[in-house]
Amino acid sequence: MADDRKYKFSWELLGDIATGRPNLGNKTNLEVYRLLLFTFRDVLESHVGTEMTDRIFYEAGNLSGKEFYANKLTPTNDLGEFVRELQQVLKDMGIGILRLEQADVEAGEFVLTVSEDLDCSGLPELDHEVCVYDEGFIAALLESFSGMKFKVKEIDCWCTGDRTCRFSAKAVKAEP
Amino acid sequence: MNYTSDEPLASVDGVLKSLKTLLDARAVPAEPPGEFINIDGFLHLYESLLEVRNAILATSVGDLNYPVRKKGYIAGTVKGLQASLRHLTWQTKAIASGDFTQRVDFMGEFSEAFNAMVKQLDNSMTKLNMREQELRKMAHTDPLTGVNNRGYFMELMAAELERSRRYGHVFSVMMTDLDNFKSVNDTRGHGAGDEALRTMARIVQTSGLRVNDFWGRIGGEEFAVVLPETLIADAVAVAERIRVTLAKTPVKYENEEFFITVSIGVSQLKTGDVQATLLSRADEALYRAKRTGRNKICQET
Ligand SMILES: [Zn+2]
Repeated sequence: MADDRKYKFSWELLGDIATGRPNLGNKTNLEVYRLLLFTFRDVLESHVGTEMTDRIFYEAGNLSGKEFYANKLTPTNDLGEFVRELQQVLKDMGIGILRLEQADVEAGEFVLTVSEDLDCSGLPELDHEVCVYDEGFIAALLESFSGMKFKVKEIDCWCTGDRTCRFSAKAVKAEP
Repeated sequence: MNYTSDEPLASVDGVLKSLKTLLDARAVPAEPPGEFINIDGFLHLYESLLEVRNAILATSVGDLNYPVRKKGYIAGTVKGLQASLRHLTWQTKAIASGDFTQRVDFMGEFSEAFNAMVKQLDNSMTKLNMREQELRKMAHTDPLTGVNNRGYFMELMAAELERSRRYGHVFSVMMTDLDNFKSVNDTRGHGAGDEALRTMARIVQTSGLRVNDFWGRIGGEEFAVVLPETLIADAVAVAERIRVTLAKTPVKYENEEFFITVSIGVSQLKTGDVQATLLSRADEALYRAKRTGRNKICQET
C-alpha cells in the first residue's frame, strides 16, 4: 500500500531553501500561506464535506507538529524549558505568540493561547473556530513532549470575535 | 424588530439609559429591564456589556479566571489580558520553583522590569549558591593542609561503612603519625612543623590514591586514609610507598631543609566493626610501629 504513495512527508522534503532561493530566501508573504491553506480547505470541503476536512486538517497539523518537535525543539522533560523554547521558536518563525494559561502535567490538562496566529489572526468574523490545523499541531507538540496522547480543542478563536486563539488540551486516558 | 411602540423615541432613550448604567453606575439591576428585552439585539448587547463589566471588575481585583463567554472585540481584549496575566502567573510559579530562565516579552514596560527582577534574582541565587559551596568546603577542610578535616573525614567514613555493609565490600584504613613531630616544633619552630604537615599532605595526595579513596587530617600530626575495596596487604603497600617517599623528601623551611619520617598502622574491616573499633585497631598498630622503632608500618594483629 505504502509503496503506491507519491509523497510521504519527511523534513528533508522541505528542501534546501537557501540554495533554491538565493535571492528570495526563506521568506514569503503571509497572504500566500493563507491562500494555500484556505483554498485547500475550500476544495477539500466541497469534495469530502466539513467534518472530513476538519479531520484531515487536524491530522495534517498533527503530523506537522510531530515533525516540528523532532526537527526544531530540544527534547526535554521539563515543562518550563519546553514552553520557553517553543515560545521562542514560534515567535522567531513568525507562527504566533504563545502563552500558557494553565498547566497540570500530571493530570494532562493545559490551556494555552496563541496570539497573532499565523492561520487566523485578522480574519473576518465567522461563527465557528477555524484553527483545526493548529489543534492537531498543538496536540502533537504536547504528545511529543509528554508521551501521552492529547485531544486539543480551540475554545476561542479570532474568527469568532476573540482577539486571540485559546486552546484546551486534555490527555486522552487509555481505555481501561 | 418585533417591538412595537407608540413612542419609539421614549424607548430609545430608555435603552440608552439602561446601557449607560452598565458602563457608569456603581451598581446594576439584577435583571435586564423587561420593557426592552424584546427589542431585537438589546438582550445580547445588554448581556455582553454586563459580562465584560464583570470580567474587567474580576480581573481588576485579581480573579484571573472569570469566564468570558461572549465574543467580540472588547470581550476578546479582556481574554487577551487574562491570557497574559495567567501566563505571567505560571511563569512566576516557575521562577518560584527555581527556573530563572523565564522572561516576559508581551507586557511592555512591565516586561523589562520583570525580566530585570528575574535576572537579579538569578544573580543573587548564583552568588548565594557559590558562597554556600565555599562555606561548605571551608567547613569540611583543614585550613593548614587543605585536606578534609576530622569531622568531614568521619562523615565520609561512616558513609563508606554503610556502603560496605550494603554491598559486602571490604575496605582498609591507615592511621599515620609523623615521628618526633614535637621536637620539630620545639627545635625549628611551629612554622617548620606546619611545613612538615603540608609536605606529608602533598605526599599522600600524590601517592597514587584512587578516585574513591579519601583521607583527612584527624589530629595534630595524624592523618587517616580510607581505601575502599582494598585488602590489608594492598593497603600496607600504599602505606609503604608513603613512608619511603616521605623519608627521602626534604621539608623546606626558611632556607633550610630537614627530613621527617612517619609511622603507619593499618587495619581492615571485620564483621561487626563500627568506626571506632576499626580505627582503634589501626591506632594500636600505629603505636606498635612507634614503640618498635618508628619510620615503619605495622598492621593489626
Ligand atoms: Zn483561531
